[in-house]
Amino acid sequence: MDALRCLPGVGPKTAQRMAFHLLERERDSANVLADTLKTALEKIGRCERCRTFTEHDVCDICSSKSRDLKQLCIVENPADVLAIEQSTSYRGYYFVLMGRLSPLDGIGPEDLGLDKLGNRLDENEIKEIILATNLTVEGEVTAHYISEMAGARNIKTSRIAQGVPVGGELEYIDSYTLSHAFESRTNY
Amino acid sequence: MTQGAQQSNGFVLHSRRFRENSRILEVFTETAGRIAVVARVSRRKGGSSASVYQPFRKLSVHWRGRGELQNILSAEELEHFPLSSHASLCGLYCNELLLYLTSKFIPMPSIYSSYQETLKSLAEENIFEPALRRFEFVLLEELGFGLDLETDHLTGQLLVDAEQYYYHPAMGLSSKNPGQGSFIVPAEAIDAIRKQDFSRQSNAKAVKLILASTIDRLLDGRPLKSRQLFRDMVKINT
Repeated sequence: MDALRCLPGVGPKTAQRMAFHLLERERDSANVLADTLKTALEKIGRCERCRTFTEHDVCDICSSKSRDLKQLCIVENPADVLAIEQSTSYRGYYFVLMGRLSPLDGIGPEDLGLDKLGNRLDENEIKEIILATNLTVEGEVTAHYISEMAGARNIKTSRIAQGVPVGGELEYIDSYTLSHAFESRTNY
Repeated sequence: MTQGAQQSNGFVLHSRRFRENSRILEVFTETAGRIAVVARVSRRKGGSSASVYQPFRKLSVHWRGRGELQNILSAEELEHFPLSSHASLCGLYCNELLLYLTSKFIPMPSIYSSYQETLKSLAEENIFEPALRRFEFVLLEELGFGLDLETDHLTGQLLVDAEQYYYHPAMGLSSKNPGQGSFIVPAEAIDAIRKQDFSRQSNAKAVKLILASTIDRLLDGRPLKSRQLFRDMVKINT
């Protein structure tokens, strides 16, 4: 039960229910779960190119030949790659930071593999970097740092737009988002 | 309002995730000093509450609790300071200083108002250094480590006029070399600090060194990560 509590959103009560359920009714599934977890932990590592999780040395996206070599999208987490893949038509490559620059948490450029990113930028294939880090202060600082890295190599950078979400009502939107949405309004 | 609840304006200095839907926030308040509070944040539903707890926003905070960690009851944004990316890094530097150098539950109204002014300058001006120096100066003064710029620490007498002095972070100024750990500073820089005029470029470097070395002494060897990030950033461009 204690082991199950390491999962997000699982408290003592839920952990107890899960454990009893697996032991009483789903002994086979429990075995499958245990094996899957074990193989996943043994086999899944980091992609050599983009740092996301993969079973191979290089992940499927990075090894694909049909994608646009010129674009590189920077995201904080592997989940962000999936979100972008599922909902946009972006067909370039990715670089996953696995975090963000956060001086107050002691996370610096070396923890995010930015030296690796630097080497990749030096390969001279990438023409545009799309900064898709989260819209938090740390995400902004990270974006700024990477844009400086790109600037030093004369690579164009862009930042994903920020504004009013679909279904959002202006009255309830926070002042920062609203003022930003106004400043970066587009022709209609 | 619930009994025992407190209210103050304040700024979030730092937040870190706590359990699934909560965050532990370090808030620098106007009337209660630095406090640590737990806030529930919903990440999925619109995310409006998560945005309130971003740094550089002046909030009206209600909280309650005993001991080290308090509970936030409500927080409302009063004003936000739109900092550009580089200004954000400067803001984080101020946050890091406050986090490491101020004690919990001790109200520091002068530092609070100086912090607010600093954020304002960072948001409105293009040159950030003078604002940061002013903040460092006020911080040192209010923490009781203000610079003594009048006495020669070697003789104990008033400092005699000279073109340059020696500055030692622990001892202060002297007109003769006190030995290891000291460095030479031009009289112009000392004069600028006395007048709290941090806008002149010519002595900016010396002023920065004096304030930074004094802050370092207070930090007692603890490195400032935001300062390291500044340095890394400069390295990229050279």
